[in-house]
This record gives sequence, C-alpha cells and structure tokens, in this order.
Amino acid sequence: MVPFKYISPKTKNEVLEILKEEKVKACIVAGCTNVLPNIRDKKIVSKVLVDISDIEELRGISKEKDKVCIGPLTTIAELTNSEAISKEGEVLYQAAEQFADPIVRNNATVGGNLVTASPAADMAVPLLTLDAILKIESIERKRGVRLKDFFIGPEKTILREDEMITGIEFESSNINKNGCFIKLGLRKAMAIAVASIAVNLEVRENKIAQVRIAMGSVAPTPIRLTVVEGFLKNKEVNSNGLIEEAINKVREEVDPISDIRASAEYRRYVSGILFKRAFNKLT
Amino acid sequence: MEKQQFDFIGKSFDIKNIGKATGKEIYTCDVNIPGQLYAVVLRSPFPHAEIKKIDYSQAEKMGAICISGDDVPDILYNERIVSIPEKTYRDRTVLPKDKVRHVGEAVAACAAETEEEAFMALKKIKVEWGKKWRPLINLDKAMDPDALQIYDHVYLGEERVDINNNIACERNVDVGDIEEGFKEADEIVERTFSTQRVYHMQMETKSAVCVPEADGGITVWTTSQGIHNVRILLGNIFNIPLSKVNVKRTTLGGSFGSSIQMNSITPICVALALKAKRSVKLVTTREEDIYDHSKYPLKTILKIGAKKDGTLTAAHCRVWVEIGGHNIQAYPYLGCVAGWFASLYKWKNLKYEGTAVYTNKVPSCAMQGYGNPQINFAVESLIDILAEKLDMDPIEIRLKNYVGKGDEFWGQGPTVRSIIRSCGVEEMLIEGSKLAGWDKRTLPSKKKGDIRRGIGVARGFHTSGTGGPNPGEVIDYSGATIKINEDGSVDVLTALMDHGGGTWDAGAKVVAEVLKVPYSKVSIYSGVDTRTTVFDVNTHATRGVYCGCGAIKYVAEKVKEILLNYAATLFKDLPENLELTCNEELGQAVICPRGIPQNYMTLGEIAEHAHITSWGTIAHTATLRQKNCPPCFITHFVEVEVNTKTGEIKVPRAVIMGDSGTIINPDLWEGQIIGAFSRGLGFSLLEETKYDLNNGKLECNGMITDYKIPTTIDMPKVGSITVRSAHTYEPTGPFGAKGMGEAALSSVGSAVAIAIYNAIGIRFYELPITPEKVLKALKEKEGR
Repeated sequence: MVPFKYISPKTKNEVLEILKEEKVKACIVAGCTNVLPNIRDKKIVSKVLVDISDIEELRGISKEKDKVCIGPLTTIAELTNSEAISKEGEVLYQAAEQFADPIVRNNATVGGNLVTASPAADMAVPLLTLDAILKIESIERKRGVRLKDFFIGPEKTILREDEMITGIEFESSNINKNGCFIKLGLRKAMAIAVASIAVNLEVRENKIAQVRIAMGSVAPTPIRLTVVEGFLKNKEVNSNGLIEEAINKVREEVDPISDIRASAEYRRYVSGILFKRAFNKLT
Repeated sequence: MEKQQFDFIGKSFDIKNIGKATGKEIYTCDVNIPGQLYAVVLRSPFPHAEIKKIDYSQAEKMGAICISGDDVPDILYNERIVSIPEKTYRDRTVLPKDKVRHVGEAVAACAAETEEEAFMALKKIKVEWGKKWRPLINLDKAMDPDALQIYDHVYLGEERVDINNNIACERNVDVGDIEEGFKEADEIVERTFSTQRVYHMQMETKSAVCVPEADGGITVWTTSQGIHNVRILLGNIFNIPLSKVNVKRTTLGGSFGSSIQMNSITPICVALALKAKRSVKLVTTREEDIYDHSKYPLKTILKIGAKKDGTLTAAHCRVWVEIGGHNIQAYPYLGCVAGWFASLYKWKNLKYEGTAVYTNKVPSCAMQGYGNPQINFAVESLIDILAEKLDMDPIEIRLKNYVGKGDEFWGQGPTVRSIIRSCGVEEMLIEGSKLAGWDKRTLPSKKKGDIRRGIGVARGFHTSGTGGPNPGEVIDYSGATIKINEDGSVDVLTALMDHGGGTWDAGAKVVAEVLKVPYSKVSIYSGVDTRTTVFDVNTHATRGVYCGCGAIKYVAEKVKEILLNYAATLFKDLPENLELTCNEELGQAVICPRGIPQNYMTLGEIAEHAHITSWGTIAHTATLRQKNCPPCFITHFVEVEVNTKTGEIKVPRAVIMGDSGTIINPDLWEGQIIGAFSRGLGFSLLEETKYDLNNGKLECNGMITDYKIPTTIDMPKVGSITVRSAHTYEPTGPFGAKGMGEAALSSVGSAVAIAIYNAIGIRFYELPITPEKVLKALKEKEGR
C-alpha cells in the first residue's frame, strides 16, 4: 500500500490549473479501472491523483450535423446505450459491447482508455478507423490531434504534462457507418486482447473507395495499417487473391511482441485471420 | 437396494444460510475486535537467498510491533496434520530463520494501530541478505546432482532425513509382476504427460484474527477447512495447553483445498498478538495469496499393455511432482496419485514410482482432486489411444476394465483401501452415451471446414473420505453434539466445515430426517469453536457428506434413542412401540403410539416437559470414524469446437453423469458438478502460473488481471449442460449418500483433450491446451 494525495476539482479550468502546478506528479483519474490495478502493482507511485469524475462538461455524447462528439468522461456503458454511436460509428459500438464486463464498462471512460495508451486499448482501435480527432487543452492553449498521431509508445502519448483530452470527435460519413471490430482474447469477457482489429470500409461500384484498418496488441501502440490500406484502395472487392495478398501484407505490417498472453509468432499469424474475418463481414 | 422415501433428503429448500444471500455472513476478514492492531507481512523478493540479519528497530520506533525469524519458536512443523505424525515431513518454522526458498515467502511482519501505519513501518524493516542464488524452477534442473540443495535435511516424524538431489520424498508400489503382464500383452502403449501449476483462486484470501486472553490463552478466527488441527498446531508451536487455545469456526469463502493445512499467516498473526499483548488482525491481499499456494503439477510416464480383446495386463506409471519451497503433503500426495491410478482400471499387474522434488516456487498443496485430475489426464488419454489401436469403442474398453462393485478401491493411497459396494459406472457410460449422441460420433479424418467439432468421453472418481477398515496413514473422524431445544427445535454443534458446497445444509437435512424435525428448525450454521465441539479432521477428500454427515447421523440416532426412551415414560409405553413422524401441518415432529396417530405429542411439548420437570436436556455428543472410503464416480461427455485458423476452442455442449449414491442436496450437487466443470475447463484450456526462470517471480506478478480463469460466458449455455445422476445407494453412507466435490473435476481435462483429438486428429499430452499450442500442432501436422 502506498499513500496518495487526492484532489477532486469541480471545473475543467481547475483541473488545468492543477496540471500546470503539479506537472508530472499529477495523475488524472476517473473510472480508475486502470489506475487502481496499477497502484496495486506499484506501477504508479507518489503521484497526486486528480479525480475529474465530477466535471460534467467533459461527459456525454452529442451529434452535430457532420460529426459526433464524445466527452472523455463518457463511460463505455454510455457508448453502448447511444444511438449516435451505433448509427454513425458502429465499429466503436461493437468494441464497447465487447469491452471487459458490465461493472468495468460502467466505470471505465473513453478518455481514460486512450490516455492509458495500452497497446491493447479497445477504444483506440475503433477510434483509429473512425479517424478520430482529439481535442487537447492546457491552461495556455488548445490543439487538435489526429488519434493516429497520438500514441508514441507503450503507455506513451504526445500529451504534455499540463495537457488533458477534453473531447473526441469523428466525422459523420459513409465509411464511418460501415465498420467491424473483432477481438481475440483468452476468454470471452474480462480479457486483454491477444489481438484486436477494426476495419472501416466504403465500397463504390464494387471498388474499395476508402478503407481504414487498425489493430491492437500487435505493435508498441494501437496502429493503423496504412500499407495494407494503400494496397487495397481502388481494388475490386472480389478480385482474385486479393484477400490472401492482403493477409500477407497484414502479417508484414504488424510488429508484435511475445508476452504472458501469446507469442509474437501467434499474434502475427492470427492478425491475418482477424483481418480476413473482418473484411469478409463488411463485403 | 430400494431407494427409501425421505422427508428432507434429496429435496431443495429455500436458502437456509440467509447471511450469505444478504451479505451479513461473517467471514474472518469481517471480524473486528475493539483495540485491535493491523498486521502486514514483509515478503521475500528473492527465490532463494540467505537472511543474514533483520533489523526492525526503525519500524518499532514508529510504534509498530515487529517479528522476524528470531522472534518465533524454534519448532519445526508441518502445517498439515491430517496424516499420522510418523508420515509427516517437517521443514518449516513460523518465519524462516536462515533462508527464503521462494519469492513471496514471509520474512517478517509488523502490526500497528492502522493498516496504513503498519505499511509505513514495514518499509522501515531492513533485511540484510546474504548469498542469493538463481532459482531452481524446472524439475530436471532441481534433480540434477550438481544442483544447489534447497534443504540440507528435514524431519519425518521425529526422524532426521537428509535431502539429496532436492528429492523431498519418494513412494513406490508394486502389485503382481509387470514384466509378466507386459509379456501377455498384444499391444503396449507408452506416453509422457504433464499437467501444470494452477492457482486455487478461491474467493476469500487468507485472513486471521488473534486475541491474546488474560489467562495466557488465545482465541483465533482464521480461514480454515478444519479448526481442530489449527488448534492443535497453534498449541504445539506456541506451547499453550489446548484448553487455552480456542479456534472459532468461521464461514469460509471457498478454498478448493488451499486451507486444509493451517495457513502460513495464521501463526504469524498469533506471534504478533502474543508479542504485542493486543489483538491483531491480518488480512492478505490477492497478490500475497497467489504467492502462498498452488496446485501440484505432475509429470507422468505411463505405459500400459492389453490383449487383443481389450483386457488389460499391466501398467507402469512413473510420476514426478515439483512441490515448491515447502513440503506440505507431498508424501500422502504421491500415495494418493498411486491410489487414483490403481483404482481406475484393473491393471492386474502394476508398478508405480513416485518422486517429489523441491523447487524455488510457491509451495504446492491439495487442490480439487489431490492429484486425481492430473493422473486421470494421463490414464484416460492413454486408454483412448489404446482403444484406437485395438479398434475398440472407447466406451467398450472402459466397461471391460473399470474397477467397480466388489473390487478394491484405494481411497487414500495404498494404506487406505475398501471394497466398493455401490457403483454407477456402467449406467453412466451407457446412459450418458445415449444422451450425448455418442453413436453419431465421426472419426477425425471425416471432419471438414475451418471449425471442427469433436466429442470425447472420460471417466473419473474421487474417494468419499479417507476411512478404511483399518486406520491407515490418514486421520479421519468427525463428530457432533446435537441437542433438542426447549421448543423442539434442534441445535447441531459440529466443527465440520462447509466450503460453500452445502455440507452444513446436508448436515441439517440428515438431522431433520432422523429426528423428523422440519429442516427450518435445525440450526447448524454458526456459533461454534474448538472449545464447544468435538474433533473433526477437516473438510477435505470429498468427505463432508459421507464422513461429516455420517457422524452427524450417528449422533442424531443416539438423540432419537434418548428421545424415544423419554417419550416412552410419558406415553407409558415401550420406546419401540412409538412412532416418530414429521407433521407438516403443525410444523413439528410428533410422537405417537404406533397406530394411534390422534394420540400424539409434539417434540416441542415433550422437550418442554423434560425442561419444566427438570428431567434434563435431550442431547448427545459423539465422534465417528467411517470404515470405508466409497468412490463417487463421474463421467464426462464433452463436445468441443476447434477453430483451425486461430486454435480457439469452444465448448458448446456437455453431458455429465454423476454417482453420489443418494443425493442429499440435489440443486447444490448439480451446482458443484457444473462449477467443477468450469474450473476443469480452466485447468484444461487456460490456466497456468508461469514463472520467470531468472528471478523466480510469477509472470503475472501476482495480479489476476494476468491470471485468467473462465467466466460464466466461457461455459456452454445453461440448456447445453446436461447433468444426470446414477441410480445407486451406498450402503455405508448416511441415507445411502457418498461424496461428489472433487470427483466432478477429475475427468474434465481428459474428456476435453480427447474431444480435441476427435475434432482435429491431434493428441495433446500437456495441459493447458491453449489456442497457440493448437495452432502450432495444426501447422506441424500440415507440414508433415
């Protein structure tokens, strides 16, 4: 057991002030589904816990005319109850439904899942194929960052010590409406992915007009498979050998490691299988 | 024997133990004593290291009470005293005095006014480590003649035993002549099997609360499957007369065998309380618990021979078990593995060689089957291979060779044997095969597609208790005090423990059945301790119903005798002319002269009469040793679906046949079988406590986020698990009952592995069968 300093600010500005003050010592918490296990595992020590769960302005899902906005405090359970998510970003909806178990879904937040920056993050993978943009703020400035540029390593992001995510947005578009998420775990619930995949696809006149592919647990961060995407673009959906060739390219593009859940070799192999499953579901 | 008609046995009632349903049940961690201190334990980060000095002066300056190896008695003990003393190996003290032998071993402890203060003080304890050695993790490396010795010597009873090649103990058994047996065989098969270490994952982590009493005695609440053995051990270790050691029977939050022995933290808590002269509470975390106990793994080389017609002629079984840093019960374990092996089939000639080896891992202890699922995996897999070679149906070969009625069963190793008097094996194999659609089974070569289905059958058993006609190496008796209260309700005082499987419900039903008292008026659930009860060895070895409730029935019958004798004076009749029945309308037991039902008195009226006339309490106390150990049988028909692209395995359907004789708690019985199936799937497909070979730590680092067991949604859907009971009656059991608990797990792994073979034509000899192993094997097969 380790003692902690705990602050519970009531407004976004208060949080940003605290971040500026405490800098690297601050650790924002909300659902605590990652933070508490990390404290027990002594991965987080001597931090100031900044509990933002009372800040209502950071919570909720709203549909604007050409985009969907998600507050970082939105819980995974709230995603599974949202018509906007199921209609405009089904891939995220599917991932939310497979996330952990009901108790964790009621507590874990979308922002928390992204900031933790686990290579396995179940929210990051579908948000990557929705090409989400993060709104990031510090007391001094605001900026927008594409999610694909957000992760830089295992548990590492571009977020500066005085910054926090204040919003997550994705476009309302044809491609975002047609998505599929598949997760391979060692059991059916409460499992960290051995590998996960999200694919979003737009087919026009039997050709792949647009495709986005993201995977979890197969690289140091959740990744977009841009090489495979480039290969598939403008190809005929049903052309001979397309999937087989794409599977090989998926296996080349992923960069997995071996850990307690699976070997790198296994992950590389099943990445191809997961891609095939997801692609077939969408075509 | 015809089945009897029962009023209470075999019926399901509303939840009796309402405390569990409402959250008001008191477990050890709920016990709070005014003014108690909170204790925490300092654990070794090293797998094998010398302790030179422990300095806790800084911690004591903060107001904490601390202990290290220097503060605990020099008594070398074994925490499990179920076996007789001369067969019990002793290798440990309350805290280690010279070196640690696994990561997570307790080295010191401290108690303070709050848990937080205790943790702060713990950080101030300085351990000066001496030599540190690389851990011995693997069996073969530990047995290498050049390997470092984890122990120089230990004690077996009072006798000093030198340890060589880290071999903790050995056990060999010979029956007949295997050389002759193998000569007679037309077909001989031999394979090597291995099963892994898994963690018990019982809901309740180990806890203890100790109150030092004014008279120099102690009162202790602790997580335990048997309070009397804890009492005896604490008395011996701390040199306190047993009349001054009182251990409270507290509800157990599951255990799966992990609290047969006195838990390692219990004497630590007592030592702190005695030093502090204050009450101390010690609750361990999940991380500490994973580093405290583990299932015994097993490596087996098995060779069996049979004639062309499937008649077995000989078996040679060699097993090795690595037991971790302490020998808790490896010697009886090796004996039991021999017994499970010898009692599955009529081998005619058998040879068994067992070796237990120390390693620098978490100490292994009993877990759901005590070696039975491990050896069953080897035997049932090899029988399936043999059947295929002989072109026999797997069910036919089993029917031809199983050990059944009239045969000898080794219920607790070679020294505890009894004759089987009830056996549902044939019925279960035949009826089960109909329910499972066995005749529709196709060969692996006929399967097509990415997802392939297979079905497998395996059978197993467990003993019910550890009694034999002659007492063997294992202590086994139970007892109770039963008294009829002044209103006709009944109190049962017994040390018998309930793991959550319904042992107490069964005890209450047995008493209700004998005394014809409504089930709701029998109280067995709380308020006893070692001072108010007679001895009960432990709820282990699937003995709760057969031995524990057997003793309760014996005492209840004595009480019935006293009751009828007393009633006879009221009715001015002979006791044998009186009839005891349950009158549902009155909600009372009633007594009447036979044939004159209108002339009745209720039990309440009789008890009240005994009270106001100062006749006395209608009560009796006794213990009973069961003189048999009947096997409870199980048969698993399991269907699997193997995804040949990812190696994933699903279990869509199962038919499970159980033989417990008369079933006392039908709903809980089915629950145990399905629960054990879930744990069995974890054992077969998922679970393993893996170690880092360099630093001796668990790869999951003690966190259950990285130690998965199956969830409810990994099970077949409710309607897809069929559980059926054989129609048997055990003549030596209470109302014809025997056990179920551990039997229910014994053949799950075997059936799953055989079903996987049926699906994809690949045999697996090592558990768990993970998707990764399946995929690798499939690739190798294709590559051939």
